Amino acid sequence: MKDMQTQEFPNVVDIVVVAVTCLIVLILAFPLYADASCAKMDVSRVDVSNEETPKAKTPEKQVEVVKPVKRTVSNPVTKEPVSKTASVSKAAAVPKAAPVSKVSTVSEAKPEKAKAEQITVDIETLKTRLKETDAIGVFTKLAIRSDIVDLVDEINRHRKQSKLELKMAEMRAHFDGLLLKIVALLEGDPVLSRDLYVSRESIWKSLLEVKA
Amino acid sequence: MKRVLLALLAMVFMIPAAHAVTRAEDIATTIILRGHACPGRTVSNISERVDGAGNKTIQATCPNGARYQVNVSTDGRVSVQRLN
Repeated sequence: MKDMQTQEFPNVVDIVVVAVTCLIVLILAFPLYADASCAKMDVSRVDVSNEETPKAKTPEKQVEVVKPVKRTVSNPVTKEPVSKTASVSKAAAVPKAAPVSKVSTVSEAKPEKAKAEQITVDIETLKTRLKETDAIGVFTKLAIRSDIVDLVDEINRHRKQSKLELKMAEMRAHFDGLLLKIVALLEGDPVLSRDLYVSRESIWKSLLEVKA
Repeated sequence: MKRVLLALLAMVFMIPAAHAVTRAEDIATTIILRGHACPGRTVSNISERVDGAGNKTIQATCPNGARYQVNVSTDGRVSVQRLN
Protein backbone atom coordinates (compact mmCIF):
# COMPACT_ATOMS: atom_id res chain seq x y z
CA MET A 1 0.00 0.00 0.00
CA LYS A 2 2.79 2.33 0.90
CA ASP A 3 4.58 1.53 -2.31
CA MET A 4 1.43 2.10 -4.26
CA GLN A 5 0.98 5.48 -2.64
CA THR A 6 4.53 6.60 -3.06
CA GLN A 7 5.13 5.23 -6.52
CA GLU A 8 1.80 5.07 -8.36
CA PHE A 9 -0.24 7.78 -6.58
CA PRO A 10 2.25 10.25 -5.20
CA ASN A 11 0.17 13.29 -6.12
CA VAL A 12 -2.93 12.02 -4.33
CA VAL A 13 -1.05 11.81 -1.06
CA ASP A 14 0.40 15.28 -1.57
CA ILE A 15 -3.02 16.71 -2.28
CA VAL A 16 -4.42 15.03 0.82
CA VAL A 17 -1.58 16.45 2.92
CA VAL A 18 -2.21 19.95 1.59
CA ALA A 19 -5.98 19.66 2.04
CA VAL A 20 -5.65 18.39 5.60
CA THR A 21 -3.19 21.15 6.43
CA CYS A 22 -5.53 23.78 5.00
CA LEU A 23 -8.42 22.41 7.01
CA ILE A 24 -6.37 22.38 10.21
CA VAL A 25 -5.24 25.93 9.59
CA LEU A 26 -8.80 27.09 8.89
CA ILE A 27 -10.10 25.42 12.02
CA LEU A 28 -7.31 26.67 14.24
CA ALA A 29 -6.72 30.09 12.70
CA PHE A 30 -9.62 31.97 14.22
CA PRO A 31 -9.09 31.08 17.86
CA LEU A 32 -5.33 31.41 17.45
CA TYR A 33 -5.79 34.76 15.84
CA ALA A 34 -8.22 35.89 18.51
CA ASP A 35 -5.68 35.04 21.18
CA ALA A 36 -2.97 36.86 19.27
CA SER A 37 -5.13 39.93 18.82
CA CYS A 38 -6.02 39.90 22.50
CA ALA A 39 -2.37 39.69 23.38
CA LYS A 40 -1.56 42.52 21.00
CA MET A 41 -4.41 44.56 22.42
CA ASP A 42 -3.12 43.98 25.92
CA VAL A 43 0.30 45.14 24.83
CA SER A 44 -1.15 48.19 23.15
CA ARG A 45 -3.22 48.99 26.22
CA VAL A 46 -0.12 48.88 28.32
CA ASP A 47 1.65 51.08 25.82
CA VAL A 48 -1.08 53.67 25.74
CA SER A 49 -1.51 53.74 29.49
CA ASN A 50 2.19 54.04 30.11
CA GLU A 51 2.72 56.21 27.03
CA GLU A 52 6.10 54.63 26.49
CA THR A 53 5.60 53.12 23.08
CA PRO A 54 8.85 51.62 21.90
CA LYS A 55 9.75 51.97 18.26
CA ALA A 56 9.96 48.23 17.79
CA LYS A 57 6.25 47.81 18.51
CA THR A 58 5.11 50.53 16.15
CA PRO A 59 4.46 49.61 12.53
CA GLU A 60 6.90 50.60 9.83
CA LYS A 61 4.46 52.90 8.10
CA GLN A 62 3.77 54.82 11.24
CA VAL A 63 5.33 58.20 11.50
CA GLU A 64 6.02 58.69 15.15
CA VAL A 65 6.36 62.18 16.44
CA VAL A 66 6.97 62.60 20.09
CA LYS A 67 6.56 66.13 21.23
CA PRO A 68 8.65 66.77 24.31
CA VAL A 69 7.13 70.11 25.20
CA LYS A 70 9.22 71.97 27.67
CA ARG A 71 6.28 73.91 29.06
CA THR A 72 6.50 74.42 32.77
CA VAL A 73 3.48 73.75 34.91
CA SER A 74 3.22 75.05 38.38
CA ASN A 75 2.55 72.38 40.94
CA PRO A 76 -0.35 73.51 43.11
CA VAL A 77 0.89 71.60 46.13
CA THR A 78 4.58 72.31 46.12
CA LYS A 79 4.27 75.62 44.24
CA GLU A 80 7.35 74.73 42.24
CA PRO A 81 7.62 74.75 38.46
CA VAL A 82 7.66 71.17 37.18
CA SER A 83 8.85 70.41 33.69
CA LYS A 84 6.84 67.81 31.82
CA THR A 85 9.76 65.59 31.01
CA ALA A 86 10.68 65.33 34.65
CA SER A 87 7.13 64.85 35.89
CA VAL A 88 7.57 61.14 36.57
CA SER A 89 10.67 61.54 38.64
CA LYS A 90 9.00 64.36 40.50
CA ALA A 91 5.90 62.27 41.06
CA ALA A 92 8.04 59.44 42.38
CA ALA A 93 10.08 61.74 44.54
CA VAL A 94 7.23 63.73 46.06
CA PRO A 95 5.71 60.92 48.20
CA LYS A 96 8.94 60.51 50.12
CA ALA A 97 9.14 64.20 50.93
CA ALA A 98 5.45 64.94 51.38
CA PRO A 99 3.14 61.91 51.52
CA VAL A 100 0.05 64.10 51.83
CA SER A 101 0.42 65.43 48.27
CA LYS A 102 0.78 61.98 46.70
CA VAL A 103 -2.66 61.68 45.09
CA SER A 104 -2.82 65.10 43.53
CA THR A 105 0.70 65.00 42.15
CA VAL A 106 0.34 61.60 40.55
CA SER A 107 -3.06 62.36 39.08
CA GLU A 108 -1.70 65.48 37.44
CA ALA A 109 1.55 63.97 36.32
CA LYS A 110 -0.07 61.21 34.25
CA PRO A 111 -2.26 63.33 31.94
CA GLU A 112 0.50 65.86 31.45
CA LYS A 113 2.91 63.17 30.48
CA ALA A 114 0.30 61.64 28.23
CA LYS A 115 -0.11 64.94 26.43
CA ALA A 116 3.61 65.49 26.19
CA GLU A 117 4.39 62.12 24.72
CA GLN A 118 1.29 61.81 22.61
CA ILE A 119 1.92 59.85 19.47
CA THR A 120 0.63 61.44 16.33
CA VAL A 121 0.38 59.41 13.19
CA ASP A 122 0.32 60.80 9.69
CA ILE A 123 -3.28 61.14 8.54
CA GLU A 124 -2.58 60.01 4.99
CA THR A 125 -0.83 56.91 6.31
CA LEU A 126 -3.82 56.19 8.52
CA LYS A 127 -6.16 56.56 5.56
CA THR A 128 -4.08 54.15 3.52
CA ARG A 129 -3.89 51.65 6.33
CA LEU A 130 -7.63 51.89 6.90
CA LYS A 131 -8.25 51.27 3.21
CA GLU A 132 -5.89 48.32 3.09
CA THR A 133 -6.76 46.58 6.34
CA ASP A 134 -8.37 43.14 6.17
CA ALA A 135 -10.01 43.53 9.56
CA ILE A 136 -13.12 45.08 8.02
CA GLY A 137 -14.86 44.38 4.74
CA VAL A 138 -15.52 46.56 1.72
CA PHE A 139 -19.12 47.43 2.57
CA THR A 140 -18.17 48.31 6.12
CA LYS A 141 -15.45 50.59 4.81
CA LEU A 142 -17.94 52.24 2.47
CA ALA A 143 -20.40 52.72 5.34
CA ILE A 144 -17.68 54.32 7.47
CA ARG A 145 -16.69 56.53 4.55
CA SER A 146 -20.31 57.64 4.14
CA ASP A 147 -20.47 58.53 7.83
CA ILE A 148 -17.27 60.55 7.63
CA VAL A 149 -18.45 62.38 4.51
CA ASP A 150 -21.75 63.15 6.25
CA LEU A 151 -19.91 64.54 9.27
CA VAL A 152 -17.67 66.73 7.11
CA ASP A 153 -20.72 67.98 5.18
CA GLU A 154 -22.45 68.79 8.43
CA ILE A 155 -19.42 70.68 9.73
CA ASN A 156 -19.22 72.67 6.50
CA ARG A 157 -22.93 73.41 6.59
CA HIS A 158 -22.62 74.80 10.11
CA ARG A 159 -19.56 76.75 9.06
CA LYS A 160 -21.45 78.38 6.21
CA GLN A 161 -24.24 79.32 8.60
CA SER A 162 -21.62 80.65 11.05
CA LYS A 163 -22.92 78.26 13.70
CA LEU A 164 -19.88 76.05 13.88
CA GLU A 165 -18.70 77.43 17.20
CA LEU A 166 -22.11 76.81 18.72
CA LYS A 167 -22.33 73.31 17.32
CA MET A 168 -18.72 72.40 17.98
CA ALA A 169 -19.48 70.27 21.05
CA GLU A 170 -22.20 68.41 19.16
CA MET A 171 -19.93 67.80 16.19
CA ARG A 172 -17.15 66.62 18.45
CA ALA A 173 -19.49 64.19 20.17
CA HIS A 174 -20.56 62.91 16.76
CA PHE A 175 -16.93 62.50 15.77
CA ASP A 176 -16.05 60.70 19.01
CA GLY A 177 -18.92 58.28 18.50
CA LEU A 178 -17.83 57.60 14.94
CA LEU A 179 -14.24 57.08 15.99
CA LEU A 180 -15.28 54.67 18.72
CA LYS A 181 -17.31 52.72 16.17
CA ILE A 182 -14.29 52.44 13.89
CA VAL A 183 -11.98 51.50 16.75
CA ALA A 184 -14.42 48.81 17.85
CA LEU A 185 -14.72 47.46 14.32
CA LEU A 186 -10.96 47.19 14.01
CA GLU A 187 -10.63 44.49 16.62
CA GLY A 188 -8.79 42.38 14.05
CA ASP A 189 -6.18 45.10 13.55
CA PRO A 190 -5.38 46.31 17.06
CA VAL A 191 -2.33 48.33 16.01
CA LEU A 192 -4.33 50.41 13.56
CA SER A 193 -7.13 50.70 16.09
CA ARG A 194 -4.73 52.05 18.69
CA ASP A 195 -3.10 54.45 16.23
CA LEU A 196 -6.50 55.83 15.23
CA TYR A 197 -7.47 56.34 18.84
CA VAL A 198 -4.17 57.94 19.79
CA SER A 199 -4.34 60.30 16.78
CA ARG A 200 -7.94 61.33 17.35
CA GLU A 201 -7.04 64.99 17.97
CA SER A 202 -5.09 65.20 14.73
CA ILE A 203 -7.92 63.54 12.84
CA TRP A 204 -10.43 65.95 14.34
CA LYS A 205 -8.30 68.93 13.37
CA SER A 206 -7.87 67.62 9.84
CA LEU A 207 -11.64 67.13 9.58
CA LEU A 208 -12.21 70.71 10.63
CA GLU A 209 -9.78 71.87 7.98
CA VAL A 210 -11.67 70.15 5.18
CA LYS A 211 -13.44 72.80 3.14
CA ALA A 212 -16.43 72.13 0.95
CA MET B 1 10.53 16.52 3.25
CA LYS B 2 8.53 17.43 0.19
CA ARG B 3 5.28 16.94 2.04
CA VAL B 4 6.44 19.00 4.96
CA LEU B 5 7.26 21.83 2.56
CA LEU B 6 3.87 21.47 0.93
CA ALA B 7 2.18 21.61 4.30
CA LEU B 8 4.15 24.71 5.26
CA LEU B 9 3.28 26.37 1.97
CA ALA B 10 -0.39 25.59 2.49
CA MET B 11 -0.22 27.11 5.96
CA VAL B 12 1.46 30.24 4.65
CA PHE B 13 -1.24 30.77 2.04
CA MET B 14 -4.20 29.77 4.16
CA ILE B 15 -3.56 31.85 7.29
CA PRO B 16 -4.20 35.25 5.60
CA ALA B 17 -7.29 33.83 3.93
CA ALA B 18 -8.60 32.62 7.25
CA HIS B 19 -8.11 36.05 8.81
CA ALA B 20 -9.97 37.99 6.13
CA VAL B 21 -13.50 39.05 6.90
CA THR B 22 -16.07 37.00 5.03
CA ARG B 23 -18.67 38.61 2.82
CA ALA B 24 -21.46 37.54 5.17
CA GLU B 25 -19.71 39.16 8.13
CA ASP B 26 -19.07 42.29 6.11
CA ILE B 27 -22.73 42.67 5.17
CA ALA B 28 -23.86 41.93 8.72
CA THR B 29 -21.46 44.56 10.09
CA THR B 30 -22.79 47.08 7.59
CA ILE B 31 -26.35 46.35 8.70
CA ILE B 32 -25.36 46.77 12.34
CA LEU B 33 -23.51 50.02 11.56
CA ARG B 34 -26.70 51.43 10.14
CA GLY B 35 -28.48 50.78 13.42
CA HIS B 36 -30.31 47.56 12.63
CA ALA B 37 -30.21 44.41 14.70
CA CYS B 38 -28.37 41.45 13.26
CA PRO B 39 -27.38 39.03 16.02
CA GLY B 40 -24.61 36.61 15.30
CA ARG B 41 -22.83 39.10 13.06
CA THR B 42 -23.37 37.01 9.97
CA VAL B 43 -26.01 36.71 7.28
CA SER B 44 -27.28 34.05 4.94
CA ASN B 45 -29.21 33.85 1.65
CA ILE B 46 -27.20 36.65 0.09
CA SER B 47 -28.43 37.87 -3.27
CA GLU B 48 -26.79 40.65 -5.19
CA ARG B 49 -27.69 42.60 -8.29
CA VAL B 50 -26.34 45.63 -10.06
CA ASP B 51 -28.54 47.98 -12.06
CA GLY B 52 -27.60 49.79 -15.23
CA ALA B 53 -26.37 52.87 -13.40
CA GLY B 54 -23.96 50.81 -11.32
CA ASN B 55 -25.92 50.88 -8.08
CA LYS B 56 -25.54 47.66 -6.16
CA THR B 57 -28.36 46.07 -4.21
CA ILE B 58 -27.69 43.26 -1.78
CA GLN B 59 -30.35 41.34 0.08
CA ALA B 60 -29.46 39.15 3.02
CA THR B 61 -31.12 37.44 5.95
CA CYS B 62 -29.90 37.75 9.52
CA PRO B 63 -30.00 34.80 11.94
CA ASN B 64 -33.08 36.31 13.65
CA GLY B 65 -35.02 36.02 10.39
CA ALA B 66 -34.93 39.69 9.49
CA ARG B 67 -34.21 40.33 5.84
CA TYR B 68 -32.40 43.49 4.88
CA GLN B 69 -31.55 45.28 1.69
CA VAL B 70 -28.20 47.04 1.47
CA ASN B 71 -27.99 49.69 -1.23
CA VAL B 72 -24.60 50.86 -2.41
CA SER B 73 -24.78 53.79 -4.80
CA THR B 74 -22.21 54.52 -7.47
CA ASP B 75 -20.63 57.25 -5.34
CA GLY B 76 -20.15 54.80 -2.47
CA ARG B 77 -23.10 55.76 -0.30
CA VAL B 78 -24.44 52.88 1.77
CA SER B 79 -27.97 52.61 3.08
CA VAL B 80 -29.83 49.72 4.68
CA GLN B 81 -33.54 49.06 4.82
CA ARG B 82 -35.46 46.22 6.39
CA LEU B 83 -37.65 44.21 4.05
CA ASN B 84 -39.84 42.25 6.48
